[in-house]
Amino acid sequence: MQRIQKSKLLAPIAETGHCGLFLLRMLGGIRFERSLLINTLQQTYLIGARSLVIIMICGFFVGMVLSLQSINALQQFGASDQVSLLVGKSLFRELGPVLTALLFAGRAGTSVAAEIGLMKATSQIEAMELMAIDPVQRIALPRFLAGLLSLPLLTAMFNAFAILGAVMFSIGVMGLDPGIFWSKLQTGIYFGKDFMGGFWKSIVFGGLVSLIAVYFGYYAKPTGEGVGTATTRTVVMSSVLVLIFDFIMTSFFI
Amino acid sequence: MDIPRGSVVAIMGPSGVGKTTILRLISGQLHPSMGSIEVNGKEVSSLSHRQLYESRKDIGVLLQNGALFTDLTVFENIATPLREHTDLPEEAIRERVLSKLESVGLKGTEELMPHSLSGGMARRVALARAVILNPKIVLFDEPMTGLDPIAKSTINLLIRETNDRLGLTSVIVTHDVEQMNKLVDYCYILAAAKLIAEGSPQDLMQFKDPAVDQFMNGRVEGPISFKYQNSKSSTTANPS
Repeated sequence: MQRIQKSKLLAPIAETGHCGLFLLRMLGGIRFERSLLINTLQQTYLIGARSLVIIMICGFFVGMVLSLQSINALQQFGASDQVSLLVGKSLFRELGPVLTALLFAGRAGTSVAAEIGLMKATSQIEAMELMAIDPVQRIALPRFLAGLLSLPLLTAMFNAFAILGAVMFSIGVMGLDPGIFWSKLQTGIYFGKDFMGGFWKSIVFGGLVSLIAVYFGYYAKPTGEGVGTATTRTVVMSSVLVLIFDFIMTSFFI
Repeated sequence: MDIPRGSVVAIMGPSGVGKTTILRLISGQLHPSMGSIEVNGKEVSSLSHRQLYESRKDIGVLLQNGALFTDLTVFENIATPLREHTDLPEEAIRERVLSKLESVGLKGTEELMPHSLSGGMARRVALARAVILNPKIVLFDEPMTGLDPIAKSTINLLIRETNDRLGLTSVIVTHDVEQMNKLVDYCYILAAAKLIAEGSPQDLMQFKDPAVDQFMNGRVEGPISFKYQNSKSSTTANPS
């Protein structure tokens, strides 16, 4: 009885280690060839560029609601002209990278996990191994690299559209002065601290989400149920880990 | 069990007897707990990961359902081994893929996606992919399962043709007695995880052993039980 409980407790630790070994296997066997570049770019299109629309729409509305709430709160102190500063800081540092990572996990992470899981269920992975092609290099690595590359770019798009949403709401609807809005944004937001702080986060989140997706997909049970479980676990684990890592990174870098 | 170069050999037996396991042992996906497997004079289980991958370039495998890559066209499916393992220019790849595709009678399908192929066509594309690197050995896992009689005979013919034209050694795992009688040079029959008989199909039809007779003629009554047995099977037939 005690042994079962102990193994249940240790299982997540063992899985973390297994996942780490998978990462090492992926990066250890890396060979910089033209085919890797082509595959990575293709995957960047499939999982990155195809996520653009949802990222832009969500960014736009987040920017609008953020400025609505901020203006409401700041008005009480007569400081509603500070709205661009508040929106900018919270976006670049926190909301941009975190929300994009969560959306990316739902949009791209699931599709990667399901795709690899299904390839396994239909013996495509086995066929590849039998052709002396390493599926970790051919299937997992390009998707991992594509995620790593896509998320910072998507975060930048998210931020840009959120600022656009904030501009439309604050200036267009609430009638704030555009000069004050832009000058506060320009002088109050620092490239190194605010923008790059969020940028590093988004790289870590990109690696995290895509590693979890390829790992769960690759080790999915080759059944319909197994693929479903892999997809669900990808979303749950990456969402939780993104938020945990966000706190850890923020407390170190702030 | 010996499989001579250049021949078409079948490994037959009822489902679940370990036929596919033998293929996996030959291709090095599984390691034997006892005994040894030599391919081209090399002990498979002693090979390192890299050597194993190197040796697999000489082995083509046709898996049970074909296992075509669903995200690639027929052309790209067949071209994949060439792109991964050779430095051929694009024209040479194109030429080789199209000639292989023609030899399995599917010229003109190169731009189709695997999901728009019929079962028999998919199996033929998989055959073309398995032999594109001109391997020495081709392993077939149930190449006839789930096909209509015409497609079965076509695959049958193609296996024989490809084998003789390219000088291959073909190992076929199957339980389709009728098709195998037409195709293979030599047969091994397994039952209850044991080799119970071997010989040419004609010899085996005359075989006196009750288990062999039961399998070859598809009888319900006989030493091979169709009931699920947890421990050792009751089949005790042993040819040697």
